[in-house]
Amino acid sequence: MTYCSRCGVEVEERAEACPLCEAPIQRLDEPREDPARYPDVVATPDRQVRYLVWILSTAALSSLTLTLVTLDVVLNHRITWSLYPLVGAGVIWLLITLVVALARRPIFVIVGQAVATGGFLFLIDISDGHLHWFVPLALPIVAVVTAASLLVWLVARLSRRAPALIAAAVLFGCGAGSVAVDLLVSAYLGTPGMSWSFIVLGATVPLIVFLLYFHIRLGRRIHLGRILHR
Amino acid sequence: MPAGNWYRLDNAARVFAALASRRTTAVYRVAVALRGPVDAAMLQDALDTLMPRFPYFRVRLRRGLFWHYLEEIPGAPRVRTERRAPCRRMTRAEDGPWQLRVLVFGRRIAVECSHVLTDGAGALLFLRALLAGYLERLGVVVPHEDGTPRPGEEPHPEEAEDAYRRFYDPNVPPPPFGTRALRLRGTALPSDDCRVVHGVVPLAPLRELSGEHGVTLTELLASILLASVADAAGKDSGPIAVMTPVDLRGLYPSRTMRNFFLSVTASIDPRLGDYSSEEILRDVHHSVQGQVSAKSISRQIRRNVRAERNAFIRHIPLPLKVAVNRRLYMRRWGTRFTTVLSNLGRVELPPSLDEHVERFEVIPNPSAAHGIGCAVIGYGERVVITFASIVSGTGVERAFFTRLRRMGVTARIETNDADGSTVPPTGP
Repeated sequence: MTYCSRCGVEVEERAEACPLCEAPIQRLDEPREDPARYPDVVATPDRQVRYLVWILSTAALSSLTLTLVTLDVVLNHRITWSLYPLVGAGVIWLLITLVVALARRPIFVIVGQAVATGGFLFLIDISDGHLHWFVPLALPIVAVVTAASLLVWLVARLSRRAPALIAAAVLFGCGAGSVAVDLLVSAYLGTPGMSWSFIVLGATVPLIVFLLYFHIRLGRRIHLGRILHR
Repeated sequence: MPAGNWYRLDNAARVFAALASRRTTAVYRVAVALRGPVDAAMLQDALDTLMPRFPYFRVRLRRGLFWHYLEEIPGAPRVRTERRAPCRRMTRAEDGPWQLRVLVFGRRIAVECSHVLTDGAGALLFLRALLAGYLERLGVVVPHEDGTPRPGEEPHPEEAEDAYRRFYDPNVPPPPFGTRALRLRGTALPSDDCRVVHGVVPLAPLRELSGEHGVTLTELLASILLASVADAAGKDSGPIAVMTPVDLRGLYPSRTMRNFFLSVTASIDPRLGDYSSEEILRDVHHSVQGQVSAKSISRQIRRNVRAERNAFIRHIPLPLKVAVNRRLYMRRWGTRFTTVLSNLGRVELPPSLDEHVERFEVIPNPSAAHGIGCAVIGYGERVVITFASIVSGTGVERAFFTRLRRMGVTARIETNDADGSTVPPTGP
């Protein structure tokens, strides 16, 4: 039998330290075979995983932009075209940071992405001192995409066990979002009306109908008595 | 209360369904360690045969507009090899639709069960039935007279009832609301992790000690736990309260296999001065005996069921109920006690099964509100006292087992924290 000299409790034969005080176990003889009572589990904290993702993304984006900027400077002796990937990478980094920081709160991620993207577009538009396309075009598009994302999130949250319904919501978000963007762009260009979004609708609507049919008809039956019991 | 193939949640399950999260998992474990390795295929066969006997466990948890409910499903959970920390939250990805899991590791069969389904007494009966079925497949002759449910039997209609509702008396006054108790602080372990410390102690000296002081075994252990928390928390801490669940099947004539327990609380206040062991034992004994009676418990049933039957509460949408329940638990209900001590009593098996069983174990459900919980189960001449904690540090466990040793009872300590990664270094 093996004891901890500090706590006075008996410990497992294979223990090297007391489970209660961590004092090393002193032995006078070799430990006997003592089968493990529990599997060896090393839990990785969620924060560590997210931090790792953030570090890797940061490293990848920095090395990419550094390479492009170096190439640009070597060829043109100043920053010219590499400004675009530089700014793009900056926005991607910001969006990844938002997702990593708010991973457990999807609604904040969606709203945060909208604010970050909107802010980025606002800064680009106002870079020459005047607002041109931000209010009539960029802001409504960001709002439409955010609303579509919130709709998908809501459907997914309310029906997390209905993949067909969630897929239908995603397609609906894409279809409706495309129509809205098409209308906004056309209006901005002075040619109101739908154009290319017809093609998107043509592709998504039949799929949405099929998925809804699958969900209602072939999926689980709806039992109102259970769902509405008070 | 079955109707078709779905069940309303019982009164306690409604709260647990709302609280279930990665830290407050609402999942506890009852387990049996055998004397030889467990054959998972044979256990799966025993489980497949047994599940139809417990239709109220063959269910998935669903969300209604106003309440969660349980929907019957066919089949049985898959027996799996234990690979992760115990008492983790039930997830769709890992557990499929089930609210109970059966795990095998070496010589141990473990049933991890969500409180949405049943309490410790119900899960223990299920484990005994599973053990009997498994040992029968090994050729052991299992007598049928000990009341353990058998495959093929028709379940008694009372087994699925919500006994809280049956014994609800709207005319009794509500119980007094307790005072806020000390909350143990500590650095949280990673979510989904749970440190388990078992202390295996001989039953005879414990019985002798409780006999000497004229208290029950639960009261003795609750007193030691109170003193241990006081040791770990220091003299200036606030009131320390230990909550002890009471199996109401002993007080009310019900055969329910769903939740049917309520709790009594024993407390001390270290700010009033030092307590001797005798003082704590006396206080705990009188306090517990005053609370463990049908009259006193009926007041708790009245409070809980009345809230559930309130017309306004019934019509609040489920997401709002869940949010309010969680907030109330963390801010109000969960603050009335420091930790939990759950005693499942002594398991007795037919002699033919005895030679195959080494011991039973129980691990309480982790809770973010109190961080550490304790559960006790006896078998043969041994008692297994188990602490489950989701915070780092083993101050309470160490104080508890060193106090026991000073009283002449030496524990054998086993843990799932083999590398000691959740125990901070201590001074000399």
